[in-house]
Amino acid sequence: MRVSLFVTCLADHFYPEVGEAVVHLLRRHGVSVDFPAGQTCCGQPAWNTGHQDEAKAFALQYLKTFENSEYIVMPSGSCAGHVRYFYPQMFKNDKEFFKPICDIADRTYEFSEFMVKVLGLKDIGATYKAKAVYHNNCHMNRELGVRDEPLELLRHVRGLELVDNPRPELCCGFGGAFSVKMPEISTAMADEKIGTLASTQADLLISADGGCLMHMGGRMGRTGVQMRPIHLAQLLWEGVQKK
Amino acid sequence: MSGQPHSMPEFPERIDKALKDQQLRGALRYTADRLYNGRKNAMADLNAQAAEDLSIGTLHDLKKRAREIKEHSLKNLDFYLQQAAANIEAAGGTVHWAASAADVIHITQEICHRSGAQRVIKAKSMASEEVFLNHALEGQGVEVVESDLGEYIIQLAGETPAHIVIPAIHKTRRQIADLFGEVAGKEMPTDTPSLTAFARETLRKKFMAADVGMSGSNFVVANSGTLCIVTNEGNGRLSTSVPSVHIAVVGMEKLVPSMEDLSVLMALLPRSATGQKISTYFNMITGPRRPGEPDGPEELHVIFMDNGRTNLLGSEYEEALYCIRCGACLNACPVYRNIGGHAYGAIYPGPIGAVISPLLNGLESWNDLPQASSLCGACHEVCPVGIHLHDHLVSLRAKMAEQGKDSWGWRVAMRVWMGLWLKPWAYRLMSKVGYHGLKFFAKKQADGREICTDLPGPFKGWTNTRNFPAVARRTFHDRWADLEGGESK
Amino acid sequence: MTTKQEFLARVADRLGRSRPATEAPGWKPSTPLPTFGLTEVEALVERYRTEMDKLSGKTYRVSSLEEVAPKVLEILAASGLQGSVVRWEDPALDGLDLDKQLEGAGYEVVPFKPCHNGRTLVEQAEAAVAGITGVDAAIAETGTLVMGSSRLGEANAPGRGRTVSLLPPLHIAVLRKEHIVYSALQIFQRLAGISMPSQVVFASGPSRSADIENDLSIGVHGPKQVHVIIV
Repeated sequence: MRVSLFVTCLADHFYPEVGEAVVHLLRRHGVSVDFPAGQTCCGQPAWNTGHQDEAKAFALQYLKTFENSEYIVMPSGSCAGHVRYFYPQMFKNDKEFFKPICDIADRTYEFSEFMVKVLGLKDIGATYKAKAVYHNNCHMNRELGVRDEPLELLRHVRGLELVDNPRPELCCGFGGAFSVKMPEISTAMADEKIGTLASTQADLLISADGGCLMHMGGRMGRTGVQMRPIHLAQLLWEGVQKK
Repeated sequence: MSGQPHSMPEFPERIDKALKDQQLRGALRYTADRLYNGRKNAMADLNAQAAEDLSIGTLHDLKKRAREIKEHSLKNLDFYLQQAAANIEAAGGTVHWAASAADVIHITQEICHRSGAQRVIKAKSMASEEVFLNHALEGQGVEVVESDLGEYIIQLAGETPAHIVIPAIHKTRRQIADLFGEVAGKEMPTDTPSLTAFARETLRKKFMAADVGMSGSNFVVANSGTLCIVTNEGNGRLSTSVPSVHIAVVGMEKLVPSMEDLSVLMALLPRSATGQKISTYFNMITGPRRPGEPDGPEELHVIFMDNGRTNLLGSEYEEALYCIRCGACLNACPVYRNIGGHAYGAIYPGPIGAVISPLLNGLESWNDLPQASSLCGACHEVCPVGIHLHDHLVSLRAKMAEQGKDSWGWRVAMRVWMGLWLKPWAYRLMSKVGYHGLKFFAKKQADGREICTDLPGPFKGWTNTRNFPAVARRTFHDRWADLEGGESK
Repeated sequence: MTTKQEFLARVADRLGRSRPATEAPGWKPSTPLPTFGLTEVEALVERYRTEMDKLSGKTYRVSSLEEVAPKVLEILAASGLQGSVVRWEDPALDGLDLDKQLEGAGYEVVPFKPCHNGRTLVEQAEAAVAGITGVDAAIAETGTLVMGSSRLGEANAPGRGRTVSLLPPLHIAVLRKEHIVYSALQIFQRLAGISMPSQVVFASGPSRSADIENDLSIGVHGPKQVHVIIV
């Protein structure tokens, strides 16, 4: 089985170790991974800020980059959600590209979704001794509909005490460009969200999305909250290397 | 058009004021959570009852049917308006047609003038707030009193509603007691029974003395010409039963074809708004009192109002006219719960307000509201008629960008940045530029990671409150060379 | 000032029509509503009472019409209120010997029919300590009383008085158990088949508000207490 990795612009620049973790974990389960070098960004920032022409250009670039890929996997529910939910909408009146775009959207997966639904994995033999809470990204939740897969994988990590997220429906406040355009509200939202997560006394804040981790991690670093933000893929990769 | 009152500070200032008001934020969270959980429990109960054939249907069924009803009603609105008007008139009511806010004011003033009305008592009507009706009537020397407890409180405070369903969500009992104290001419106790008793007595006198009662209408049944008013307090019944003239200001999108259709929407509205299965009172009015009836108004005037709704009708935003004004989106919105209705500034706040305010009033007014969202989709999730509010917000951002109605600086920055990122070689080059650029600002933390705490330009907003990571020295694109050719195990 | 023609023309235009539609579009809700709910009288009474209890309303069962008036007196005595009482002038309250027994207990009874003493009926209702009505129907699912301003389905039925169940602090309703249905839909279906009176009200328990710091208060503008005697 061959998978193409879409690393996402955030992970590429700020969390390349997450991309590495995904590659190692997929290979560990017998999957060949390639990395088309023409990839840049899924275009969500353009779409969200109303730059529809640019957003469509990114979609077509994604289409071209991955046109020969059987599966496209990415460590971001937000990006996968953008591709699956919004790409088809952008091209719904386009005779030439609607079908290929729908097709490529169908081949696009968020990392944990791919592991559980396509590879059929639950217990990957990971060990990680810590108390953790899982944060579900809003787009992954509501647009992509991937809710249980990350939890399924985490529940089988030996030694990991997974506590319930007290307010899963509340957004952390990242929202992409929103975090920079409306920083005061974004921060207020982060504070409430971090408060609910920290109240669980968890050591780790796990998420399948780099944007949420960057935003909440950045705030926790400033305010001294002692939870460590970590990406799901990274936790699992570290976990399978432990004995 | 009823755009922004000229005296309002700018949106960033309004946000700042709200975020600094801890009492407001506490009240907003408490209320939003109470109503959100109320709705959630009511829907779970509805579904559980449906499973035992003891309710009208599951939420999914009702939502589907409600959308069909609203879509059909709007697509045939010209017919249903005529049908409703004919039935209202057949029952002895008078129908008026108001394209604009000015029309609503003019018609109302004329009715009051003709009947010599000096005192008006109002049941809650967001439609009348849209046109700042109270202000216009008071300017003509007519006393206008709001009878809904929350509306009465904000009227005394000289404010607009902070929430669609609970207008005085932001007021403490101390503040309420002080407002009532000014009316009473003495200090008021702050306990709920005393405050309620005071409101009841004071407003009861107003009900009895009023010449005109005003209301809105939650729904209008077209095939019978019936206005439907939902309240918990009884003020909706009193305003429309005691004074001799009843004026209803009704947004034209309120029409539904029949009573059976009404049952679907009435199953959704109270549950979505507060978690109640039904509001305490549901008042159905068809014409004024009949000859020989002992009470009820002698005159019923129904003012159908457009005021920008036709901007949405027939457009890609028509779906926003499905709104039944339940407020569920406000209670679910993580932005609303932090800043409250007054920060939005428009009469309709929250997600629905951010969508319809620019559309009702012209894109250049309220053009900043669609920016105030992280697009989390919670609004769409709870909306009983499934309005894709989050998608409409993005669409509005696109319209504003197209028409140059958003910030010029952001637009240029985004175009340049996105333009570079569309070219793989430029994207990779920018990574290097970014690395060196941020390195200048980066500091090493105890855990070895490099962070920036003080960035200039657009990222200053981030670093004012949050640390920003440095760009990795070797991006994933760089590292692939090491990974490529690695074996699968 | 907008005319009706101008208003409708704008609407029609936005809907892609050159003039406003004049025909019924043949609408039928696409999903037929299922049959559901309770049908057995005792189950309906039980459910109605349970819901009213949740709403802070009070219900009483009596087995004959003769027991109604004494129950009304009991309710009034418990309230500690003395003064006048308004009531519907309606067959629903016939044969209950209400007036005689109330007057016997010191209450002035004011039936809502045209009066000649110069005070309007509405003012009488405002001054009364209780309002006694019958009920057109009740809804068990939600603990709701349905009251028309005149008898439902009877053209030219005389008005009963909207303010009888609204202005006085106590509302006492006499409900025949056969008039309880399960759901609001059944009432809407019934209303769909009749000529609507000037007002139909659904009342579910005493009036309430949570506008003061989310604290529930009962008895805001409408009745503070609702007592339903089920016969």
